[in-house]
Amino acid sequence: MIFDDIQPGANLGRMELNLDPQTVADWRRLFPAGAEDEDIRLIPVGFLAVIAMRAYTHACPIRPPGNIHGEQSYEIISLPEIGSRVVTDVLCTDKEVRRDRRWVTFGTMTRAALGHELLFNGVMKVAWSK
Amino acid sequence: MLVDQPAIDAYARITGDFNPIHLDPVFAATTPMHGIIAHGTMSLGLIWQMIARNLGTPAAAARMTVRFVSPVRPGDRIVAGGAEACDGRHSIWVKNQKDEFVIHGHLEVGGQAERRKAAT
Repeated sequence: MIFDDIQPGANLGRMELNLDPQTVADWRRLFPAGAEDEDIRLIPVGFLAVIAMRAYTHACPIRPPGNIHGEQSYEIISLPEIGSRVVTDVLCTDKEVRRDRRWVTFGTMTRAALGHELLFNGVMKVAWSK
Repeated sequence: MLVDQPAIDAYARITGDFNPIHLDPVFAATTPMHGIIAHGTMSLGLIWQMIARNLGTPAAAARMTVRFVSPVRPGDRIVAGGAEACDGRHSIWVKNQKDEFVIHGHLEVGGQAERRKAAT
């Protein structure tokens, strides 16, 4: 998807993800410090980025190579339990050209698959390479 | 944290983000970054660790906003830190071995985030 084809306001899709213990363990191997301070029933808070990125790459599978993450925000309501399933909706919320650079903003909204309570929102701003 | 290519490769597998700017040195050399850079959210993981260690897991009503201001490259050593700002929020950052900011932003936890949200 090139910049000219991107439509702000478009709903790009939904992804359901199983928060499997193995993937969480892989994440904790990269970021072991701090694990002793976390509730081991819940995903590590940094794992939110994994959920958001998986949903983004699923919803937007054909991206020009060389895109760069410029800004990120999260609003966390609660953390899901390891082993649970979450559903993430991905939206394109904005695009702009600033200082000769193309920027695209995506929003993610992640809910529990069971019960549908909102878990966290994310906003990512990406420098789009083409 | 030492950021090396095996760590970047592992992060790509975990997130499913196989952008060649993180993985392919030949391609990455042709980009404005002039070489491989780590995923921005990989460095962000270090901030979350620091928060968990110093403030406890922000399991409810936390709001974080960050900018990725400089690339992190294989071989870089990065460290996360933060401080309470005068407005009650926490400034947060990641720096590299040259003491350059690679990420900076702010965090609100618990009542801070709730109060600010109610006021907006």
